[in-house]
Amino acid sequence: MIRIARRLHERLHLFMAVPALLLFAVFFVVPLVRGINISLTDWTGLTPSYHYVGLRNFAEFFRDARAVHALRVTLIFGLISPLLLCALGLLYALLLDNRLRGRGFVRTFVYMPAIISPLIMGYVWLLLLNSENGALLQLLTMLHLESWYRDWLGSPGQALWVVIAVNLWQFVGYAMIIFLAGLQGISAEVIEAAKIDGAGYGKTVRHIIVPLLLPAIRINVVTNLIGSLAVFDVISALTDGGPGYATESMSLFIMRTSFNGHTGYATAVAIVMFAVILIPVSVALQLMRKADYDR
Amino acid sequence: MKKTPLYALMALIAVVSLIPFYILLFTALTPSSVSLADSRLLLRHVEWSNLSHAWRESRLGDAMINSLIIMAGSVVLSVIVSAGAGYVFARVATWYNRFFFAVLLFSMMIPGIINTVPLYSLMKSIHGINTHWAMILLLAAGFVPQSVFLYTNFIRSMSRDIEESAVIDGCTPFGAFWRISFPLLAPITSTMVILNAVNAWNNYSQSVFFLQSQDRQTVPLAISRFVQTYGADYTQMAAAALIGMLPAVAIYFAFQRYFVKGISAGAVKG
Amino acid sequence: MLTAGLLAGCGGSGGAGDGNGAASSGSPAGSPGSAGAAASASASASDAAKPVKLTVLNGTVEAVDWLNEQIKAFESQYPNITVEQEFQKTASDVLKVKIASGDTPDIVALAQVPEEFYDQDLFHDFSGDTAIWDRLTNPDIKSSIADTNRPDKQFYLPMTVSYTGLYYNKDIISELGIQQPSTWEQFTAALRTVKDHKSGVTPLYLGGKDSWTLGQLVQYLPLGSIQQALGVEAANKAFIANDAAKLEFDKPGSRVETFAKALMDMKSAGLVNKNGASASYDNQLDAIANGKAAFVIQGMWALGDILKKNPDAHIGFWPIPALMPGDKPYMIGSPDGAVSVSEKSENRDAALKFVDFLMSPDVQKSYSVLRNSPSVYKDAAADWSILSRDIAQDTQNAFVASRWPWTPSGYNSDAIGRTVQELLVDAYKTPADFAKTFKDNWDKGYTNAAP
Repeated sequence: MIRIARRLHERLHLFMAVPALLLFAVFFVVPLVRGINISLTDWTGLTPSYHYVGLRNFAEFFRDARAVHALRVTLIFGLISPLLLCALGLLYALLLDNRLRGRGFVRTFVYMPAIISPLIMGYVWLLLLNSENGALLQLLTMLHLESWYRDWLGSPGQALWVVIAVNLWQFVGYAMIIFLAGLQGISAEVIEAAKIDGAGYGKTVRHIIVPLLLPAIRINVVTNLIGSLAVFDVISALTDGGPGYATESMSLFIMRTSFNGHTGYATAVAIVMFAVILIPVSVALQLMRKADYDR
Repeated sequence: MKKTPLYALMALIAVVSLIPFYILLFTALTPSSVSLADSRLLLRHVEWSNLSHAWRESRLGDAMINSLIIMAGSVVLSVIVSAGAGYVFARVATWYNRFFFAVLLFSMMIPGIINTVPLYSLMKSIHGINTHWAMILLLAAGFVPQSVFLYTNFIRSMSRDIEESAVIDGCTPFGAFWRISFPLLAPITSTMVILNAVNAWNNYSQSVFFLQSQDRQTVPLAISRFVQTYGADYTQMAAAALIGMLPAVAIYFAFQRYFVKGISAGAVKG
Repeated sequence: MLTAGLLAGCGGSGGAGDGNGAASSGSPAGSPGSAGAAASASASASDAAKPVKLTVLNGTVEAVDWLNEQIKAFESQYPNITVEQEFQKTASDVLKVKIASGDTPDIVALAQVPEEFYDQDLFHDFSGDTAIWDRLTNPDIKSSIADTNRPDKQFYLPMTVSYTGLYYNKDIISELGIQQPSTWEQFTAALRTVKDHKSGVTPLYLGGKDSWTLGQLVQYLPLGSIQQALGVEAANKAFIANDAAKLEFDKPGSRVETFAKALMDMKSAGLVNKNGASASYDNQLDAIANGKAAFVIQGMWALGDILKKNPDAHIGFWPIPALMPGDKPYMIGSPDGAVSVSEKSENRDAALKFVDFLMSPDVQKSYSVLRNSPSVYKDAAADWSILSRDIAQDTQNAFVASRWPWTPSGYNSDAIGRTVQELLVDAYKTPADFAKTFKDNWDKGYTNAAP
C-alpha cells in the first residue's frame, strides 16, 4: 500500500499542470467551442431558434461598412498605442534608472494609474475634459487661457487621439517597469566600456542598450499589442464609440451587435478580431526574432 | 550630466501620473449641488459627507467584502495551479507539454467576447451564478495563461541543482518543488499577486453578468450604480471609487518591492 | 433569483423563460382577479405553507430602495415568500443573456422587454384581470399597452404615465415675452429671440454625448409626426412592418429629411450649443436648472435631478412644437413603469401575488411621488410634482401619443442618436444624406427573429 502511495507521490509532479489545464479547458475552451459554433449561425440571441449559415457571417463582415470602420479604428488604436507605450516607457525607464534620490517614489507613482480600473479612468478623463465644467476648462479659465480649450471629445477626428492619450497615461507605468527590469540586467561594465570608447549617450542607447533589452521589448510589444487591439473599457467610458461611430472599436461593435439581435454575426466578427490580433503579434514576434539573430 | 533637469523631469512625471487621483479626490469632495458656474478646482467647500453617503448608497462595505473574497480566492488559486503548471512545462519537456504551453499563450489573443453567452449557459448549468466560488474559478482560469507563462520562464532560468539534491536526499520531485523551489519563486509570485489581484479587484465585464444580487456585488458594480443612463452622479462615483481602490493600492504597496525583480526574472531574462 | 430562475428553467420552460419586460400579466384566468393583496391572500391558502423564493429584475436605479421597501412590506404579510431584487443597469442586455440561457426572472420590473420575448409567450397575459383595468384613469391606456402583434393580450401592467416635452426657463421666457410656440417657425423665432437678447444663454441645449437624448428627438419629431398622421396604433403597425410606403423615410422632403434640415439650420444659426455632440445629459440638466439654457427637450423623469441641481429653478413644461406644418404640438404621455411576470415559472402564482401587492393603491401612490409622474390608477392620485398643473394644461391642446414610436431592436434610440451625433459633427452634406443613412440603418435593425 505504502509502496503504491510512494510510487504515486514520485510521479505526482508530472500531473501538476492538470489543475491549470482543467480550469482553462472548462472555463475557456468549452465556451469558445460553443462560441465558434454560434458564429456559423444566424442566431439573434433573442429567440431559441437559429439556422446554420456557414461562412456567410464572415462574408458579411467585409461588406459591412460600419464593421470595416471598426476594424480601422481598432488597427489605428491597436498599433499606435503599443508604439507610444514602448517609446515613452523606455524613456521613463532610462530616466529612472539613474541614481537619483526619490526614484523609488516616482516609480511607484508612475505605475499607480494602472491600478485604477480602466472604466473609472475613462470617467475621470470625462470629468477632466468636459466641455462645460471639466477640470481642464476650469484650469485654463483660471489662467485666462480659455481660448486654448478644444472640445476634442466632440470632434470625430480628434476623439480617438484622446483615447490613445488616456490609455498611454494609464499603462506607461507597466511598460516602464518591464524596461526597468531589463535595464537592471545590463551590467554596468558594458555601459562603461561604451563610454570609454567615446560613445555619447544617444549612441549608447541606440546601439548597446536597446539590443540588450530585446526580451523586455518583446514582452512589452506583445502584451501591449494584445491589450490595445482588444481595448474596450476605456473607449466605452470615454466616448462610447462616439461622436457617432468615430471611435467605435471592434470590441465595442461586437458587444453592441451581439445584444442588438445579431449574436451569430457578432461572434463571427469576434473571430475575425482574433485574426486581427494574431497577425500583428506574429509579425512582431518574427521581426524581433530576426533582430535577435542579427545581434 | 547635470542632475537638476533630471530631478525636474522626475517631479513632472510624478505629478502628471497622479493627476487622475487628484481629479477623483476633488470630485469626491465637491458637494453635488455645486453649479456649472462655480469653479470646482479650488474646493471652496469640502463635502466630507459625500464619502459616507457613497458608502451607504452603494453598500460599499459589503461590496468590498465580496471583492476581497473573490480576489483572495482567485489569486491564491491561480498562483498555486500556475506555479505547478510552470514547473511541469519548464522541467518536463514532452511534446504534449510544449503543445499545451503554446495553446495557453495562443489563448491570450482570443477576445473574451466570444465567450459571453456560452459562458453564461455554462455557469448556470453548474449552478455557479451569484456564487463566490464560481467567480473565483472563472477569474483564476483567466489568469492562468499569463501566470503560467511567467512561472515557466522563471523556473527555466532557475538551475535544477537545488531540486536534484533534494531528490537525492529522499524528497519526491513534487515535494522538492513545493518545499524548496516555490519559496524561491517569491519575486515572481509577488508580481503575479499584484497583477492578478488588481485585475480581480477591478473586474467588471464578467461580474456584471455573474454576480447579480445586491449582496453579492463587487466594488466595480457598486461604483457603476452611480453612473446611469438617466443621470450620473459623478461626485458619488468618485467618492466610491476612491474608497474602493484603497485595498488594491494597499496590495500594490505591500508587494511592490519585488515587482521589478519579479518581472525581471520571470519575463525579461532570456 | 437565480435559484427560482433555475428551477423555472429546469422545470419546463424551454428557452428564455420570461421576457424582460414590464409586461406584467394580470392574474391568471383561474384565480379570482384581485387588485389588493388581501384578496389574493384568501385565494391560495394551500400555497401559504410552502416556502417560495421570487426574483425580481429591476432596471431603474431610482426605484431600487423603493422596491426594497415594498419587498419588506410584502414579506411581512407573506412570511413564506422571500423576494430577491436584482438591479441591473443594463437590464435589457442582461435579460437577453439570461433568457438565451434559459434563465428567466420571476418578475421583471421597470425595464424594457424586446417584443420577441412576448411573442414567445414567456410572459403572463393579464388581459382577463378586469379588476386592475377597471381602476385605470383612462380606459384607453389598456389598449395602448396591448401586445403589438396580438392586441387581445396584455403582457404587462403599467404604473405611471411618463410625459415628454419642452422644458423652458420661466424667467427668461417671461422677460423676453415669448409665447408658447406651436409650430416650428414659432419655435425657431423664439430661439432666435433668446440668442439675440441673451448672449451667454443657449437657446436650445442638446446633451448629445448621451446618444439616447438625440435618438429621442427623432422619436418626438419625425416619428411622432407619423403618429399624428396615421394615428398611434396604425403608426405602430407601420413601424413594426417597416411599411415603406407609409413611413417614407427617404422620400424627398419627408419628415426625416425635414428633421435633419431643421437641426442643421439650428446648428448653423447658433441656436443650439456648439458642443452638442459632447455635452452630456448631466450637462443638459445643469444648463436648464441654472439658467444657462432657455429650452431643453426632455422627459418628466429629468425633473427630480433638475431640482436637485437647483431647488429654486423656475421651469415650466410645454408640448414640443410641431416639426411639420399642419401638425399639433406633440407630447408623449405613455404608460410607464411596467411590470411583467414569467408565465413558465414554477413560482408564478406567488409572483402574481407580489405584483398584486405592488399595484395596490398605497404602493402606487408612493411610486407616483417617487417618479414625479401621475399614476394610471384612479385610486392612487397624489401630488406628484410642481409641474402637474402645466401638464394638465398641456395635454389639452397637444397631440398626446399614448405610445412611444416603435423602433427596431437593432436600431434603438441609442443607435439612432449616434446617427444624429454624426450629423452634429457635420458628417452629412445634405439632409437627404442623413435620411438615406437613417433608412438604411432602420432597415438593418430588424432582426428577422422567427418566433
